[in-house]
Amino acid sequence: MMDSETKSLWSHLLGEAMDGELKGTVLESYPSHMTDWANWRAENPETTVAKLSRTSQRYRTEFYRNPSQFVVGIAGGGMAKAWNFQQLTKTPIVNDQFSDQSLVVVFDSKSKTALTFSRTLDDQVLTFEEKDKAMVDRETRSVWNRLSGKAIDGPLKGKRLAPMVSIVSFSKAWVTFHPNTTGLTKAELEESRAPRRSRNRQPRGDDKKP
Amino acid sequence: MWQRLLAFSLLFPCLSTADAQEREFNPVKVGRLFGRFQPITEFPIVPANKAELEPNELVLGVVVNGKARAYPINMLTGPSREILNDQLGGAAIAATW
Repeated sequence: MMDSETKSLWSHLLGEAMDGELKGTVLESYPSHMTDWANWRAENPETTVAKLSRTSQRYRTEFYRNPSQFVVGIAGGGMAKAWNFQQLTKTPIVNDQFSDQSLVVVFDSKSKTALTFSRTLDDQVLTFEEKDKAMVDRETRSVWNRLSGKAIDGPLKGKRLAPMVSIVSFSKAWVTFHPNTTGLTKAELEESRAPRRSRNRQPRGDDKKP
Repeated sequence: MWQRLLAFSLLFPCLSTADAQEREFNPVKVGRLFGRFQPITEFPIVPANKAELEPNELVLGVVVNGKARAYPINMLTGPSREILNDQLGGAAIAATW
Protein backbone atom coordinates (compact mmCIF):
# COMPACT_ATOMS: atom_id res chain seq x y z
CA MET A 1 0.00 0.00 0.00
CA MET A 2 1.05 3.59 -0.54
CA ASP A 3 0.20 6.75 1.33
CA SER A 4 -1.01 9.70 -0.71
CA GLU A 5 0.96 12.22 1.31
CA THR A 6 4.54 10.97 0.78
CA LYS A 7 4.07 8.12 -1.72
CA SER A 8 5.94 5.83 0.63
CA LEU A 9 5.29 2.10 0.16
CA TRP A 10 4.00 0.17 3.14
CA SER A 11 3.66 -3.48 4.06
CA HIS A 12 0.16 -4.48 5.13
CA LEU A 13 1.40 -7.26 7.36
CA LEU A 14 4.22 -5.34 9.02
CA GLY A 15 2.58 -1.91 9.12
CA GLU A 16 6.01 -0.62 8.16
CA ALA A 17 7.12 1.74 5.41
CA MET A 18 9.43 -0.34 3.24
CA ASP A 19 10.45 2.34 0.75
CA GLY A 20 10.18 6.09 0.31
CA GLU A 21 10.42 9.07 2.59
CA LEU A 22 8.95 7.22 5.59
CA LYS A 23 11.02 4.05 5.16
CA GLY A 24 11.53 2.31 8.47
CA THR A 25 8.55 3.97 10.13
CA VAL A 26 6.09 1.62 11.81
CA LEU A 27 2.42 2.50 12.27
CA GLU A 28 0.78 2.09 15.64
CA SER A 29 -1.37 -1.06 15.63
CA TYR A 30 -4.65 -1.53 17.42
CA PRO A 31 -5.75 -4.89 18.83
CA SER A 32 -8.19 -6.42 16.38
CA HIS A 33 -9.26 -9.89 15.43
CA MET A 34 -11.07 -11.83 12.77
CA THR A 35 -14.16 -13.72 13.80
CA ASP A 36 -17.60 -14.44 12.44
CA TRP A 37 -20.39 -11.90 12.51
CA ALA A 38 -22.43 -13.88 15.05
CA ASN A 39 -19.60 -13.80 17.60
CA TRP A 40 -18.64 -10.20 17.00
CA ARG A 41 -22.21 -8.98 17.36
CA ALA A 42 -22.78 -11.07 20.48
CA GLU A 43 -19.65 -9.66 22.15
CA ASN A 44 -20.19 -6.11 20.85
CA PRO A 45 -23.94 -5.46 20.63
CA GLU A 46 -23.38 -1.72 20.09
CA THR A 47 -20.99 -2.28 17.20
CA THR A 48 -21.23 -0.32 13.99
CA VAL A 49 -20.44 -1.88 10.63
CA ALA A 50 -18.75 -0.64 7.48
CA LYS A 51 -21.27 -1.38 4.77
CA LEU A 52 -20.05 -1.52 1.21
CA SER A 53 -21.19 -3.65 -1.68
CA ARG A 54 -19.99 -7.24 -1.51
CA THR A 55 -16.98 -8.07 -3.64
CA SER A 56 -16.84 -11.69 -2.48
CA GLN A 57 -18.98 -14.35 -0.82
CA ARG A 58 -16.29 -16.85 0.17
CA TYR A 59 -14.97 -15.39 3.41
CA ARG A 60 -16.95 -17.37 5.92
CA THR A 61 -15.87 -19.69 8.74
CA GLU A 62 -15.50 -22.46 6.15
CA PHE A 63 -12.54 -20.52 4.79
CA TYR A 64 -10.44 -22.11 7.55
CA ARG A 65 -11.19 -25.69 6.55
CA ASN A 66 -7.44 -26.39 6.31
CA PRO A 67 -6.36 -25.05 9.70
CA SER A 68 -2.71 -25.99 9.26
CA GLN A 69 -2.42 -23.23 6.63
CA PHE A 70 -3.10 -20.49 9.17
CA VAL A 71 -1.35 -18.95 12.15
CA VAL A 72 -1.97 -16.23 14.66
CA GLY A 73 1.19 -14.26 15.28
CA ILE A 74 2.67 -11.49 17.39
CA ALA A 75 5.62 -9.35 16.37
CA GLY A 76 7.62 -6.56 17.93
CA GLY A 77 11.11 -5.50 18.87
CA GLY A 78 12.58 -7.43 15.95
CA MET A 79 11.03 -10.66 17.19
CA ALA A 80 8.01 -12.68 16.12
CA LYS A 81 6.13 -15.70 17.40
CA ALA A 82 3.27 -17.63 15.84
CA TRP A 83 0.85 -20.39 16.77
CA ASN A 84 -0.54 -22.71 14.11
CA PHE A 85 -4.31 -23.16 13.90
CA GLN A 86 -3.91 -26.95 13.67
CA GLN A 87 -2.19 -27.00 17.05
CA LEU A 88 -4.69 -24.55 18.50
CA THR A 89 -7.52 -26.84 17.40
CA LYS A 90 -6.01 -29.53 19.63
CA THR A 91 -4.91 -27.17 22.43
CA PRO A 92 -7.20 -24.13 22.39
CA ILE A 93 -5.68 -22.42 25.45
CA VAL A 94 -1.92 -21.80 25.39
CA ASN A 95 -0.13 -20.02 28.24
CA ASP A 96 2.99 -18.55 26.70
CA GLN A 97 5.59 -15.77 26.73
CA PHE A 98 6.59 -13.26 24.08
CA SER A 99 9.58 -11.13 24.91
CA ASP A 100 8.94 -10.21 28.55
CA GLN A 101 5.16 -10.43 28.27
CA SER A 102 3.04 -13.27 29.62
CA LEU A 103 0.19 -13.99 27.25
CA VAL A 104 -2.51 -16.51 26.56
CA VAL A 105 -3.51 -17.60 23.07
CA VAL A 106 -7.11 -18.78 22.89
CA PHE A 107 -8.93 -20.45 20.05
CA ASP A 108 -12.62 -20.98 19.44
CA SER A 109 -12.87 -24.02 17.19
CA LYS A 110 -16.45 -23.36 16.14
CA SER A 111 -15.83 -19.92 14.69
CA LYS A 112 -12.06 -20.47 14.11
CA THR A 113 -11.35 -17.35 16.09
CA ALA A 114 -7.84 -16.89 17.48
CA LEU A 115 -7.17 -14.22 20.11
CA THR A 116 -4.27 -13.16 22.31
CA PHE A 117 -4.56 -11.57 25.74
CA SER A 118 -2.08 -10.45 28.34
CA ARG A 119 -2.01 -12.82 31.34
CA THR A 120 -0.94 -10.03 33.65
CA LEU A 121 -3.86 -8.53 35.55
CA ASP A 122 -3.35 -6.06 38.40
CA ASP A 123 0.30 -7.19 38.80
CA GLN A 124 -0.74 -10.85 39.03
CA VAL A 125 0.19 -13.31 36.30
CA LEU A 126 -2.64 -15.74 35.67
CA THR A 127 -2.44 -19.24 34.22
CA PHE A 128 -5.37 -20.47 32.20
CA GLU A 129 -6.73 -23.95 31.56
CA GLU A 130 -9.79 -25.56 30.07
CA LYS A 131 -12.26 -27.05 32.50
CA ASP A 132 -15.64 -28.40 31.43
CA LYS A 133 -15.33 -26.44 28.16
CA ALA A 134 -14.78 -23.20 30.08
CA MET A 135 -11.61 -21.15 30.48
CA VAL A 136 -10.54 -21.01 34.12
CA ASP A 137 -7.51 -19.45 35.78
CA ARG A 138 -5.63 -21.67 38.21
CA GLU A 139 -4.87 -18.88 40.66
CA THR A 140 -8.43 -17.78 41.52
CA ARG A 141 -10.59 -20.38 39.69
CA SER A 142 -12.46 -17.54 38.01
CA VAL A 143 -14.28 -18.43 34.79
CA TRP A 144 -13.48 -16.41 31.68
CA ASN A 145 -15.17 -15.78 28.35
CA ARG A 146 -12.40 -16.62 25.91
CA LEU A 147 -13.78 -14.42 23.12
CA SER A 148 -14.06 -11.25 25.17
CA GLY A 149 -11.33 -11.89 27.75
CA LYS A 150 -13.81 -10.99 30.48
CA ALA A 151 -14.23 -12.87 33.78
CA ILE A 152 -17.85 -14.00 34.01
CA ASP A 153 -17.76 -15.85 37.34
CA GLY A 154 -15.57 -16.19 40.43
CA PRO A 155 -13.43 -13.73 42.42
CA LEU A 156 -12.32 -11.81 39.31
CA LYS A 157 -15.83 -11.49 37.83
CA GLY A 158 -16.07 -8.28 35.82
CA LYS A 159 -12.31 -8.00 35.22
CA ARG A 160 -11.09 -7.99 31.65
CA LEU A 161 -7.79 -9.17 30.18
CA ALA A 162 -5.96 -6.70 27.94
CA PRO A 163 -6.07 -7.78 24.29
CA MET A 164 -2.73 -7.90 22.51
CA VAL A 165 -1.96 -6.92 18.94
CA SER A 166 -1.87 -10.11 16.89
CA ILE A 167 -2.50 -11.00 13.28
CA VAL A 168 -4.14 -14.00 11.65
CA SER A 169 -2.29 -14.88 8.49
CA PHE A 170 -1.51 -17.67 6.13
CA SER A 171 1.47 -19.41 7.71
CA LYS A 172 3.36 -18.98 4.44
CA ALA A 173 2.88 -15.21 4.53
CA TRP A 174 3.83 -15.02 8.21
CA VAL A 175 7.09 -16.88 7.65
CA THR A 176 7.87 -14.76 4.58
CA PHE A 177 7.51 -11.53 6.51
CA HIS A 178 8.95 -12.91 9.75
CA PRO A 179 11.62 -15.40 8.65
CA ASN A 180 13.02 -15.66 12.17
CA THR A 181 9.67 -16.40 13.79
CA THR A 182 9.55 -18.75 16.73
CA GLY A 183 6.65 -20.88 17.89
CA LEU A 184 6.32 -23.06 14.81
CA THR A 185 7.66 -26.60 14.53
CA LYS A 186 10.36 -27.46 12.03
CA ALA A 187 7.77 -29.26 9.92
CA GLU A 188 5.44 -26.25 10.00
CA LEU A 189 8.29 -23.95 8.95
CA GLU A 190 9.30 -26.23 6.10
CA GLU A 191 5.70 -26.49 4.93
CA SER A 192 5.40 -22.69 5.07
CA ARG A 193 8.55 -22.19 3.02
CA ALA A 194 7.72 -24.82 0.42
CA PRO A 195 6.22 -23.76 -2.92
CA ARG A 196 2.47 -23.87 -2.72
CA ARG A 197 1.10 -27.13 -4.00
CA SER A 198 -2.05 -27.25 -6.02
CA ARG A 199 -3.85 -29.40 -3.44
CA ASN A 200 -3.38 -26.68 -0.86
CA ARG A 201 -4.82 -23.94 -2.97
CA GLN A 202 -8.00 -22.24 -2.00
CA PRO A 203 -10.81 -23.01 -4.42
CA ARG A 204 -10.83 -19.80 -6.41
CA GLY A 205 -10.00 -16.17 -6.62
CA ASP A 206 -7.78 -14.15 -4.32
CA ASP A 207 -5.57 -16.67 -2.50
CA LYS A 208 -3.18 -14.36 -0.70
CA LYS A 209 -5.58 -13.73 2.16
CA PRO A 210 -5.83 -13.22 5.00
CA MET B 1 -0.25 13.80 11.36
CA TRP B 2 0.79 11.21 8.79
CA GLN B 3 0.83 8.58 11.52
CA ARG B 4 -2.79 9.29 12.24
CA LEU B 5 -4.22 9.83 8.80
CA LEU B 6 -2.95 7.93 5.85
CA ALA B 7 -4.79 7.72 2.58
CA PHE B 8 -3.65 4.72 0.70
CA SER B 9 -3.54 3.58 -2.84
CA LEU B 10 -2.48 0.05 -3.51
CA LEU B 11 0.74 -1.75 -4.01
CA PHE B 12 1.40 -5.12 -2.51
CA PRO B 13 4.83 -5.14 -0.95
CA CYS B 14 6.33 -8.61 -0.79
CA LEU B 15 9.42 -9.84 0.96
CA SER B 16 11.64 -12.46 -0.55
CA THR B 17 12.75 -15.39 1.59
CA ALA B 18 15.84 -15.97 -0.55
CA ASP B 19 17.91 -14.84 2.40
CA ALA B 20 16.07 -15.40 5.64
CA GLN B 21 18.36 -13.01 7.49
CA GLU B 22 18.13 -10.13 5.05
CA ARG B 23 14.82 -8.73 3.96
CA GLU B 24 14.47 -8.00 0.30
CA PHE B 25 11.65 -5.70 -0.70
CA ASN B 26 9.99 -6.62 -3.99
CA PRO B 27 6.69 -4.79 -4.30
CA VAL B 28 4.25 -6.10 -6.86
CA LYS B 29 2.16 -3.44 -8.50
CA VAL B 30 -1.51 -4.25 -9.00
CA GLY B 31 -4.18 -2.43 -10.95
CA ARG B 32 -1.76 -1.52 -13.69
CA LEU B 33 -4.58 -1.25 -16.19
CA PHE B 34 -6.53 1.15 -14.04
CA GLY B 35 -3.82 3.43 -12.76
CA ARG B 36 -3.62 4.24 -9.09
CA PHE B 37 -6.64 3.41 -6.96
CA GLN B 38 -8.33 6.26 -5.22
CA PRO B 39 -8.06 6.05 -1.45
CA ILE B 40 -11.33 5.11 0.25
CA THR B 41 -12.12 7.69 2.90
CA GLU B 42 -15.92 7.76 2.91
CA PHE B 43 -18.32 4.84 3.08
CA PRO B 44 -21.56 4.03 4.90
CA ILE B 45 -21.42 3.10 8.57
CA VAL B 46 -24.53 1.33 9.89
CA PRO B 47 -25.68 -0.13 13.22
CA ALA B 48 -25.62 -3.91 13.69
CA ASN B 49 -29.31 -4.34 12.87
CA LYS B 50 -28.76 -2.79 9.43
CA ALA B 51 -25.65 -4.80 8.57
CA GLU B 52 -27.43 -7.54 6.57
CA LEU B 53 -24.67 -10.03 7.28
CA GLU B 54 -25.02 -13.77 7.68
CA PRO B 55 -23.85 -15.24 11.01
CA ASN B 56 -20.91 -17.14 9.51
CA GLU B 57 -19.45 -14.27 7.50
CA LEU B 58 -15.98 -13.22 8.61
CA VAL B 59 -15.40 -9.74 9.93
CA LEU B 60 -12.35 -7.84 11.09
CA GLY B 61 -13.35 -6.33 14.40
CA VAL B 62 -11.71 -3.52 16.34
CA VAL B 63 -12.54 -1.54 19.46
CA VAL B 64 -10.98 1.92 19.87
CA ASN B 65 -11.70 3.94 22.99
CA GLY B 66 -14.80 1.87 23.69
CA LYS B 67 -16.22 2.12 20.17
CA ALA B 68 -16.57 -1.15 18.24
CA ARG B 69 -16.64 -1.49 14.47
CA ALA B 70 -16.75 -4.50 12.16
CA TYR B 71 -15.32 -4.59 8.66
CA PRO B 72 -16.88 -7.49 6.69
CA ILE B 73 -14.15 -9.29 4.79
CA ASN B 74 -16.52 -10.03 1.91
CA MET B 75 -16.69 -6.26 1.39
CA LEU B 76 -12.94 -5.68 1.65
CA THR B 77 -11.83 -8.08 -1.03
CA GLY B 78 -10.33 -6.93 -4.31
CA PRO B 79 -7.38 -4.64 -5.03
CA SER B 80 -9.38 -1.42 -4.83
CA ARG B 81 -11.09 -2.38 -1.57
CA GLU B 82 -8.44 -3.67 0.77
CA ILE B 83 -7.73 -0.50 2.70
CA LEU B 84 -10.39 1.63 4.37
CA ASN B 85 -9.34 4.95 5.86
CA ASP B 86 -11.66 5.43 8.79
CA GLN B 87 -12.26 7.29 12.03
CA LEU B 88 -13.19 5.42 15.20
CA GLY B 89 -13.24 6.45 18.83
CA GLY B 90 -11.46 9.70 18.02
CA ALA B 91 -8.62 7.98 16.16
CA ALA B 92 -7.80 7.97 12.45
CA ILE B 93 -7.22 4.35 11.47
CA ALA B 94 -6.62 2.33 8.33
CA ALA B 95 -8.43 -1.01 8.32
CA THR B 96 -6.66 -3.38 5.95
CA TRP B 97 -6.16 -7.06 5.35
